Amino acid sequence: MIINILKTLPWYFVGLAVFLVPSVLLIASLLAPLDVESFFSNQFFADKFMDLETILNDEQDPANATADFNLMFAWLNIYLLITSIAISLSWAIGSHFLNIDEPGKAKFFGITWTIISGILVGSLLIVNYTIFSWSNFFMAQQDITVRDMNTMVLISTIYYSLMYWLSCILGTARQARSAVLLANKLPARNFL
Amino acid sequence: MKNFLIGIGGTGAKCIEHLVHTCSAGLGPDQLWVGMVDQDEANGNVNKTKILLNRYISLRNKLREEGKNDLSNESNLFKTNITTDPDAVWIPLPGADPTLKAVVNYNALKDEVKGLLNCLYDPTEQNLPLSEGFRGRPNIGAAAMLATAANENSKFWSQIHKAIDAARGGEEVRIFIIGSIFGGTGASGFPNIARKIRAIQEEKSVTSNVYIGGALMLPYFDYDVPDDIDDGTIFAKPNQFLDQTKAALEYYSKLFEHNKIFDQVYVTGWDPLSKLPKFEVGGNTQFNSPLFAETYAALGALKFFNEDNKIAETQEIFHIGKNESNDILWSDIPNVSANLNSKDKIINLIRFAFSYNWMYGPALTGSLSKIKKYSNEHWFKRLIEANTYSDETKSSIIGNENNQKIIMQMREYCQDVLTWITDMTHSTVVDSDQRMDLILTDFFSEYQPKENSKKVKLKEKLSSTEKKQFKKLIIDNDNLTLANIMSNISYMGTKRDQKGLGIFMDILFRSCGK
Amino acid sequence: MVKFSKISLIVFFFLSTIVNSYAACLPTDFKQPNIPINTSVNEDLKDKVHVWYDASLSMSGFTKSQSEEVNLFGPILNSLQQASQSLGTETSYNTFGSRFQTIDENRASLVTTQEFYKCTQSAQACVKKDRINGLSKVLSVAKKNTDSTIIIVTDLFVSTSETLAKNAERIKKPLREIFNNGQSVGIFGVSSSYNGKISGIPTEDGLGYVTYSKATKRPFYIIVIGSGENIKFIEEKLKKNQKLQDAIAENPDTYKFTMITSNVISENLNINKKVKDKDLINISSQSEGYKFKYKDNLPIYEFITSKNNFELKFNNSDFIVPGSNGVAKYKIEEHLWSLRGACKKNDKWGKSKRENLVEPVITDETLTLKFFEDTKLKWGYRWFMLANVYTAKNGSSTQDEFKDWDLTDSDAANHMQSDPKLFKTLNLMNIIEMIDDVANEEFKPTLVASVALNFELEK
Repeated sequence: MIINILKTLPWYFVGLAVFLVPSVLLIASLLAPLDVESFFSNQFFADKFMDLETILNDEQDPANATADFNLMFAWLNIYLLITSIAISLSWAIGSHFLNIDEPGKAKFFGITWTIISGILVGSLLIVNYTIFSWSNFFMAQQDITVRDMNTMVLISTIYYSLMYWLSCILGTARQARSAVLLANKLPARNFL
Repeated sequence: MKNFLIGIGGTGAKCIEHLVHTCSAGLGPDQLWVGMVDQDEANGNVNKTKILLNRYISLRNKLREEGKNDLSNESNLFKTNITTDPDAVWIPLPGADPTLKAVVNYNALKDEVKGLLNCLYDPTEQNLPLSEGFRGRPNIGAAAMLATAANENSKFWSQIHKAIDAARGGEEVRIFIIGSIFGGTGASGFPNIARKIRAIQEEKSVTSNVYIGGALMLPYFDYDVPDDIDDGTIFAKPNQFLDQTKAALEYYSKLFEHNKIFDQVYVTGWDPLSKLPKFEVGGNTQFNSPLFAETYAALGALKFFNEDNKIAETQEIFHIGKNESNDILWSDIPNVSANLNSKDKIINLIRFAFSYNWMYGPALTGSLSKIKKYSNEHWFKRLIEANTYSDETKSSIIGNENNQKIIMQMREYCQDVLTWITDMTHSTVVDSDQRMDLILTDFFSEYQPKENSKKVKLKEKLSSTEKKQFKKLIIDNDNLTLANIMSNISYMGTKRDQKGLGIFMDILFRSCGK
Repeated sequence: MVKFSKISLIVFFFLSTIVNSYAACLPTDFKQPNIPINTSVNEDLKDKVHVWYDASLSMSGFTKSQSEEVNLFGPILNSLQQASQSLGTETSYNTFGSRFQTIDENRASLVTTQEFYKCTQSAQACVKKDRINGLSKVLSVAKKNTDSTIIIVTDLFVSTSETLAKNAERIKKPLREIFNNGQSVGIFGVSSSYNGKISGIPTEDGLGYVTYSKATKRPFYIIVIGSGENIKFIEEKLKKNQKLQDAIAENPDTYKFTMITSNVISENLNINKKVKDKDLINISSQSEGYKFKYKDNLPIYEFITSKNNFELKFNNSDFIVPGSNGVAKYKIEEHLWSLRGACKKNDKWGKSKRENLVEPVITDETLTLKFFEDTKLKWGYRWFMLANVYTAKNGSSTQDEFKDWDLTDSDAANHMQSDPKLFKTLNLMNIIEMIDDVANEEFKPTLVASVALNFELEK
């Protein structure tokens, strides 16, 4: 069983990497000082989503606000990343222990996967709203309008859900592929 | 190395049944010719073994078709290439109703010889119709066998002649004989057939490369004789077995002392004697369940044939027995060699038989449109679809006649295995204090002790609760689940030479192993 | 010695840090508001009091008793005379109406007798003079005596012509100066028995005037022009009159009072540090980080909170002239600064452009300032709010009770024809509203209080 898990995990990481790498680059860009050149423009998200009007209305320094916003957004991505990885890895490993004991049974575990996917989406939303609304970790949450906040929540949830899904497609135990949406379309080879 | 196995009498035929199954588990040699000797042409066990042999050979051939469906040489499943003649049974005295009198041509004998004969054999024995065996009279059997020639033209003896010719050519030949020390055909045939072989060897001036081994079955079963049987009827009487055994052992003791006919002898028996439910004089109704002691004989034969088994100059006698308690355990099964763990291989086979019979066999049975519902599953795509793909039809031909025949035959064979092990589990210990704790059988089969030919009835389908019990199928073993097997078949790599259905069969077999 | 110097240095540094730490957490461009200096009134220096009696003939009816009604004219005027003596260093008595002159105390003592109101001129002349109230002349004198208290006793029965055009201006002009000087006008109305002739009642057709003698009751008025305190003083003295108390007990409508002033604020709350820590009602003084301190007369509340809005409550009696109409509307001058994060030295505060941060809620007893009701402040910031509370408009509620006694020109004939027992006062509301209008014209926003909130907002 352990060997089977180890055979599948590299593919899991391949699937994960597609979305992980940009996410890590983004986080690094956001955590870098504003004047440092980084892979992603670290002003982009602040310019797009920060409510500059209220900041200027209070005569606050936009640079400080942007730095705070970037910090918040970086940590948001870190927590979302951890959540997505934790749940997808749990599925990838756990799928080996599903009781798929005969042909035709794997597809019934689609319900299990759907529930776990629901838990993932729920967790992503909780992380999002905790950072953006419920907690007092980041002042910068007040620098976003409700509409922009919801947009960010939607985009980040979709992004990390896709990360989860792709890593599940490639990282699910072979016998359980029918449980994951479109995973059974993967070619079946000795190495895949 | 050329290997030959001769099973004498009903006991020999039953031991061959055990041997076939152990060979299908990968315990046997690469090649083996199997023949049987039984005067009782219609003996139930002999016929059953004949059917089993044919099934094994047919299935193996279908799954060793190079380029088509090939398990590959590396596969342990049906590893041994068992061959036999279409008519694999040598009947020492053929004919409708041969008698000893006819065999020795009594009427042509001189009077003094007649007199000797009359001393040795009473008229009943002289006139006993021998078409249903020697009825527990080894003296009759021995005389009958010695009187007949080891005719090179006979399909049975031609194989022996060929084997000895091969030995002359430098190839090592091992011949193993299985028979009972008590009873009729076995008791008479065991030493005499060995003698005949040595005689042929001598005739052909072959002085080396021919080794003869034997499994001598001491009494291991018992049965109740019905009260209504006629006192004058000649049949193998169980109350005489021990006396016969004693006398036979004395004979063998002297034989082995003065005449090295056998290179290795494996002696085994069973105590207390297993109780057979029904008594039959002979014929196709004489049909006895497989018993554990016969496995010892089969394993003895496989050990003899194993390449790691170096045959000494001097005769060796091996005694195989179980532990002293009333419990029969997996540890009571000896290994064929240091590299071949009998227990693991047999367990592997049982699990394979189970999972194939109830899980995978039914899934693969039917037309492609029926089987197609599994077409999205990894195991199916990789092992079945990819390897039964036809460029002509642009689809899998798993549903075609040939493939379906293989699938069906394999399922039948698996049922044979399950029936064999279940029957043996129950029949060995029925009406005794002994307990055979090898496998759990109740959840997949029903044992009907009163039935003669079909004591074991396998369930057609298993419920999910019953399937879950697969985990406990093998007692006292780290329990593999059906889920583990499914996982294994998804991940296990294929071998290069494998083709077609052979890939799936081999992978499933290997997935059921440790 | 060295050791002592070291210790004193450390102590000094420590103290200065405390002071500086408090001082450091203020916006850098924060300017202290101009809080008026407390010019305490020298209570030993009393003003002069000028009493003016309306000597018109119709006033004599108040001096005659009526069998069914209570005569309050005499008792009230007696109380008034005593009060005026206490109020001022010097009291002078004068008449207006039929005779515009200063009288001596002997003559003044006859004010409650018929003798006082006798007209020695011809009947025609007396009648003519009787129709002219002459209030404007009294007011003209009053405007010149801004340090004095003017008390006018009159029936306030003013002809319509006196409330129009140039005549109105004659009333308004002195009133402007009176209000401009920060003085107030208190009007007392007392319904007393009447036994006389009321003249100058306009006819229905507008031609000429008629008289009415059947009234048994009529209000008379005491107009006090002076400081709010003095007016209040007189009110207290009058109210102590037993007969008046009995009459009020029997009929509350017997007595009415209003005070009209351009400035109802008695004092700025900052001057005598009347703004207390308890005034900030929804922040506990026991809470973490709470401090309340005056810095150059500006009260600064310093605290840490997670609440989104605050309330400061003041008692009207602390800053509004009692008896006045109070304040109908306040204007709050708001200044809000914010600092992102904790207070550090040389941090730049941002001055917010937000508006409508403070909402004043006015009741009869209190003024409540509700901060940030409609604004959501950001937590994690430090905020500094400076609110300067100004009056924006005086109240006018107490004048309305005089409406019961008001008689308009058009209703005069009908009122007379109804044979009333209580005869109303002609153009009463005109006069009161005129006074009120002038007061409102002269209204200048007055700084009631300045407060500062310096707080850290948590989530």
